[in-house]
Amino acid sequence: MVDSISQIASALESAKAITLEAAAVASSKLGESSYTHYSKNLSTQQLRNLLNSRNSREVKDAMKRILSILASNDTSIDIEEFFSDVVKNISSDDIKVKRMVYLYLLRYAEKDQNLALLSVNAIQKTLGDSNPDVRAFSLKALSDIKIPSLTPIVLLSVRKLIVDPSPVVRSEVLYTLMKLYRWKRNELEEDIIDLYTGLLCDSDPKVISSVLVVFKECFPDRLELLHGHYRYFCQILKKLDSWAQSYLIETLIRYCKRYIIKPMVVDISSSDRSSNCVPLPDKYNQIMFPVYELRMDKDLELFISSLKILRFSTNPVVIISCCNAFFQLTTPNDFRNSGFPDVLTNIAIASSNVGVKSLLLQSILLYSKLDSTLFQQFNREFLPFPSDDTTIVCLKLEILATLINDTNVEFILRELKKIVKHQKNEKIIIVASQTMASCGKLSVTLESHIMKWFIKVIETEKSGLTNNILDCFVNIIRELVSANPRRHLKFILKLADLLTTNHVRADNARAGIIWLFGEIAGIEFKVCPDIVRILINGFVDEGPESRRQLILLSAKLVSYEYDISNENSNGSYNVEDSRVMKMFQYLAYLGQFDDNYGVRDMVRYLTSLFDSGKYEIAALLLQAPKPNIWDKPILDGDSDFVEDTEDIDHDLITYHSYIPWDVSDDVIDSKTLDMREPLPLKDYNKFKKSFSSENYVDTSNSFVRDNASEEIPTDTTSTHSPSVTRNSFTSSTGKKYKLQSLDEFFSDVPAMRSTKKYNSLPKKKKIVTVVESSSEGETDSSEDDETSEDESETSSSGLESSED
Amino acid sequence: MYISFYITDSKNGLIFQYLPSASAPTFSDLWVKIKSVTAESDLTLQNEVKIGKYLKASKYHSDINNLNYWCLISDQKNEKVSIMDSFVLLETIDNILMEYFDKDALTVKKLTNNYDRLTMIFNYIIDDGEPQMAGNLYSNRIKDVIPLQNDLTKFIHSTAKNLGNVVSNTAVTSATSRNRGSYNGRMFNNPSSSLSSSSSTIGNEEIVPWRSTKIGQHAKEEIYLDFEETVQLVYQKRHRHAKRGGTTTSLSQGYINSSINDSRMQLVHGNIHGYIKGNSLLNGTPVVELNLNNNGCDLGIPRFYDCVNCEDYMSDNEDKKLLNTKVKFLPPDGKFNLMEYSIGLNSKQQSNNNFGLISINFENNLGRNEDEFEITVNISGSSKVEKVKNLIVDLQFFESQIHEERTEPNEHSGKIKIIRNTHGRFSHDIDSVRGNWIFDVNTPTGTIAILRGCIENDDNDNLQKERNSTDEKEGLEQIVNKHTMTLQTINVKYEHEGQSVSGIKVNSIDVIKQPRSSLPSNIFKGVKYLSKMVDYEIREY
Repeated sequence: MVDSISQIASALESAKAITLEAAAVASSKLGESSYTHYSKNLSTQQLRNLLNSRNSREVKDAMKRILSILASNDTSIDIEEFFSDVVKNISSDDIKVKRMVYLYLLRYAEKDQNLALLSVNAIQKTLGDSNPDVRAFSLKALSDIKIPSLTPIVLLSVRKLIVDPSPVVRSEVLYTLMKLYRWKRNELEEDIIDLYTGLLCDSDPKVISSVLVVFKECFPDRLELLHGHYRYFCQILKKLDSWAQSYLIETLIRYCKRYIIKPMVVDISSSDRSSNCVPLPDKYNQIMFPVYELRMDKDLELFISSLKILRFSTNPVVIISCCNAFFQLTTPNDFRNSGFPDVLTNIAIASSNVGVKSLLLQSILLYSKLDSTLFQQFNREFLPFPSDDTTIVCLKLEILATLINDTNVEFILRELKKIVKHQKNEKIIIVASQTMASCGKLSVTLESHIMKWFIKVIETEKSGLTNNILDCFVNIIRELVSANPRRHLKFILKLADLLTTNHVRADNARAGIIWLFGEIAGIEFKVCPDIVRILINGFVDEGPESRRQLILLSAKLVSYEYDISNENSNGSYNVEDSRVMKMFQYLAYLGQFDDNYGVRDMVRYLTSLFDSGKYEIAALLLQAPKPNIWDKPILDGDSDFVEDTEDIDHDLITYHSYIPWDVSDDVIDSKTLDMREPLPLKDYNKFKKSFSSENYVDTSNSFVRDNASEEIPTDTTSTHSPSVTRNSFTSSTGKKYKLQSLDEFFSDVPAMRSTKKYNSLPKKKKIVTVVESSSEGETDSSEDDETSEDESETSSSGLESSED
Repeated sequence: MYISFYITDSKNGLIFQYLPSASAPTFSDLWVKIKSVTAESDLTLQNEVKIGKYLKASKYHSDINNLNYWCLISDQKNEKVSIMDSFVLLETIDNILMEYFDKDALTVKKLTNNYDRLTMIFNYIIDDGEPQMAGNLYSNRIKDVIPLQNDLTKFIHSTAKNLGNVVSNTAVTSATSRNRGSYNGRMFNNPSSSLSSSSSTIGNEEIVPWRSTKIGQHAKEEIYLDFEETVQLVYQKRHRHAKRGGTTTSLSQGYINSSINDSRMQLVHGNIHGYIKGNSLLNGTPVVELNLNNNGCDLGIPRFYDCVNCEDYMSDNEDKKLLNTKVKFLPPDGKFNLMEYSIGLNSKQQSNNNFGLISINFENNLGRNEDEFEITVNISGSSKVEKVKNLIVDLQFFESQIHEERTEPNEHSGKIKIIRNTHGRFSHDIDSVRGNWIFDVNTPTGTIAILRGCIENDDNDNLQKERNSTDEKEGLEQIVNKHTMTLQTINVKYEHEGQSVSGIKVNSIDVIKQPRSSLPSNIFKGVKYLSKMVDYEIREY
């Protein structure tokens, strides 16, 4: 039985394969490709004919071709010359053709503004469509035609649609406000803010998402607008679009810094809690108490706790914003316990988007530099994988450098050694060895261990190391030695061996070692003259940098010997006769004829010092103590941020830079008054749900006229109308519209027309539209820049050829 | 604010450009500018190019589609704007396009055939340079507004698919476990369970923004979940101190390798990243409850896409961690992403956990001259996995002991000669420090493959002489080793279906329907597991 079924199954399966093949063949003839192929051969004239066709399918085909040319940078046909042919199709009944014409207009409207104006009528008509998507599209199209004289019409449309029951349309209204703001900020700012504050009260998360975009783009500093909405925004944070979540968090961080009192850090280790209580320090990781908790304002707490659900977010932008919020507003403890370091690590390791990945790792590096405990437990996650690319590996290694502590150093060091030895990439080797060097900071034993290891690598692998790597190794050894030369004499002698047996061949590396001997001459003088003695033979074969350093070394030795002899024999000793001086003089003599400018210069400068017998000055110059590299603090004392920042993107640092708490006194004084008391919300949903969804759009609008009651919108009764809510928000913000201008607009014919439309049933309305556009066509006032007094009459002027 | 968008192939040849204003530059113009400010070598590496004081171009490379997405951004006033927005947006767009066209991968042809749609999609997503947030970034919303053309292909395809489903349904009733398309994985065919009502529904009004309002009635209701796990592992092989003489009995070793060999291997670090994707063809507004058997893995904090109810997840999974995970979601229509999770293998001290189907081992210093190496790949048999795909073993040779004195650098030119190879073919670089053992596209499970080779050192004779001479010259170099190249690292890549590496399994998928909607008698549910070994490195150094 089973067998027979599986036979049938396989038979059917092969049948499926055949059908699929057939489909592939068929689609190649009938599908998209064939169309593309066909349309490519259209000539200019054919295209024009198609555009002027009465058949909407042909027009669509032509528009598709136009858009393809625009999108593919095809230069064979200049589509700009079709402007008038294209634009008149805006009155097409097909929404798709409308969209395509609009897309064309986006690109070319500014080139021929007068012709572009022709499209306005047709677009305006669709503002009253029953489909919210079409209404939203019309508003978008209208506001995207950037012709100055259109502003009043756009503003009018905004006022009309601001109470639209569909959140899609209301959000489009917000985007339109943003466009108006960018476009005519000076003239319209007040109107825009008026309308905007009304929309802030909206209850729909979609609209609020758009509200936040506009806030970010237009009024980032008008934080006081948020007072009444703060709590609601925190509540619906999860429901917002993930981009808006990020914007909201960024905005609220700034809001909290300005309007919420700084939280207090309470020491809970001692019994007397009231005494040990300090405001949150401005610098991260500077809390003195071993155990503490954070006492914060209730509103701040609300915000912080609402972030917790966002740790499940997939959008790295949200995660990074949340991290920033914890970083800006709370203590390291809270940040650690929030789970966000975990999420940040996971998302950074898992992301396949290289740009995002590197920025996330940079953020981790930044946090980790400020407080290494945040990511301590994830240290193994930052070990590089073979498939990681170079920048990622380097960032991971740099993060590792910040995470090293006594417990993990052994393991990490072992891994790093393997990387240094087996990696092929020069940059990775250098970064890994620098990370190793930072392990040396932990203890003296490690310091000498690492040094020994590097010397061994140089000894054994001299042929395989490039100059840059060798230079880096020598630098690391140099740095480690110079931290405490007395302790590492053994290695210094080893280095001398490296020099004299020509293990190190690279010029800059040799120069580095020679320089190092100049530095330790003050501590261990004995070995140094021997080195000069040995190297003097091969002086001519050295590279320019080594030659310079060798001369400098011999000069330093002279200076030290002068000091020693002074101490011992009270000036009776003649420096001029010493062997060290003779060596210097010999080297100086050779250096005089050097072909390298730097060497000659060095010789001139040194001989002038010694010839004039200014040994004291020479001592000052040559024996000056060098700053210890390890003493460099990770945190700069003054600026609150990481100083050593070559590896972190500059913008990222600006993004994370600490915002100071700047709560003005009157905010603190007015504590009794609840500043963030929620303002009433406008809930269109309740209203909408009370109607059958089929025709809610039209019925709701009829309410505008019929229902003029004065109910408060937050009431639970379900018979609210947009007109009512409009009244309410006017009062809630305490501002009023310029009634004058509104009246003006409403007295206009188009407004009348649209209200009329709202009253009529959708089906009827459609008929009306058709009648209008097809029957009227006397005027040809294409240059009608004014707000077009009688729009319905001149609707499709100039476009009749296609409509008739 | 985003000025313009471009899609190019991986060599940056323009495929599509979206230029929403007169001032937006065409890609050829932009490209000239980008080239002028970046070095040629950096072009492929850099993801972001600063063009002017306020202008920058960002790039996202989509690995699946092998396309580059570019956008031009002007950033004039907002310093405090998160700087990775552009990359994330481009990635999102890539996903949207794949979901919109219902494809696993986009082809250039698909894009060029749909210039008009692409332009409209971009226009719908981006409004005046900012992403539109009224749900416009959900592919189902876009499908509502910009409908896809249903051409003949679709029709025929769906017919074929239905046929296939009928077939597999029959197969299920006869108690064989098969799956759609690929016959691996498990399938559930439970009639939908309880009729709980969680959220209210109002006509065809939108309930969640990601679900289309105009979902047609699917004749056949189906939901599929694909589990895809990518694994990265680095193992340290412990040094063998006692060298074995003669040839090893490799076969016997192979059979018992999981017990013996692995004890010598130690996991250095590794992780598993899981992605759950789905395809839902359900009517109404169903809430789907997914029950996972964690197999002892800690999912950490998973990352959920919008359709998952995080609050429920938190309350459902408070106590019984590690055993089961319950995820409730309201799936979008068509293809969607459900969640991502990461399983860290670093935290707990696993003794010698063997991940995946394949265990692999290698030996050096075999043979008479101790210059032979042998790799044993043991693909254990499995009832769920039939075959392993694209198995490649990458071999790296290094100098193991580096004590002897060399006169010339880079002299080591050992030649690799293959003595015995049971499967696939072997290819290696010219410089012989790397080699690839490439298997056939499909290798059946339950196979043991062996590769034995020998490293012939050209300079063996030279070395001998050299050794003698150095011995004579200086007595310093006491330990002079024989040949130097040994196999030190192998990196294995493969993928297979049918089983997840972490062992996470689906216990059940329950579709909880709204009371009002018509009850389907039978919802077809399919699960597919796909495991990808991205990095599986075993090293001996």
